[in-house]
Amino acid sequence: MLIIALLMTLLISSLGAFFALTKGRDGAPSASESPPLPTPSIDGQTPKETETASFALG
Amino acid sequence: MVRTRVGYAGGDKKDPTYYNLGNHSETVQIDYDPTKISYEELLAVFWEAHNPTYPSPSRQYMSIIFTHNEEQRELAKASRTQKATERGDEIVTEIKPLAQFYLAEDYHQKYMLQQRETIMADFQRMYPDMADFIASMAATRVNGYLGGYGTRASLQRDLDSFGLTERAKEALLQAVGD
Repeated sequence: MLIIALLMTLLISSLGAFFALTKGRDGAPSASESPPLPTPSIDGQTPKETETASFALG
Repeated sequence: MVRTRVGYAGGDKKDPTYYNLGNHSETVQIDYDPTKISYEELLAVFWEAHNPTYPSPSRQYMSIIFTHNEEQRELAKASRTQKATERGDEIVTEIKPLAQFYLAEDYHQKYMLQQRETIMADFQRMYPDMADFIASMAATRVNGYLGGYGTRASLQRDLDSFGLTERAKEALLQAVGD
C-alpha cells in the first residue's frame, strides 16, 4: 500500500513538472501549445531573383 | 537585404562545428536583391564594419571576401585596391572563391532575436522548422533591428509586416528603444 502511495505521489509530481515545463516563464502558453501563426506578409514578398555574397569580418 | 545566415568557410575541414572549426573562418552569408542594393554597396558596408588592416592571429576571425563569381572577384579586387589607397596602409583582407559554406549551429542564427523570448515565441509559432526560420526575411529584419541597425521610423513602417502578435510588437519596440 505504501509503495502504491509512493508511486502515485511520484506520478502526480512528474505530471506537474511536465505541465509546468509546457508553460512559458510568465505562465503564458508555450509556443508548442499555441496555435501556429500565419507566415509574415514580408516573407510573401521575398524576391525570387536574389544574389549571394559571403564575408568574414574578423 | 533578403536574408542572412552565419557559418564557416575557407578551410579544409569537412563539417566544421563551432568547437571543432579546423582552419575555417566565421562567415556571414547574405542573399540580396540586386535591384535594391548593389554588390559594391555591400562591399562598402564590409569595409566599414571592421578593421581590414589588422592581421588576425587566428583563422577563426579573418578578413575575407568570398566571391561567388568572376564579377564579384573583379569588384572585390578593385575595391581592396581603392581601400588601400584611401587608407595608405596595407589591407590584409583575402579575396578567394567560396568553395563551401557550412551553416553554423542553430543557436548562432539570428542570435539577437533568439535572446528575446517573447518575440522568439511568435517566430517559433510561424516557423516550427528551424530551416524556415533561418530563411525568413522577417526574422532577418527583426534580428537586424535588435542588433541596433535601422531607425525607429523604419521599424514603425515595417512592424506590421513581421506577422507578430501585439505583445511581441510591444516587446520589439521596447527592445529597440528610441
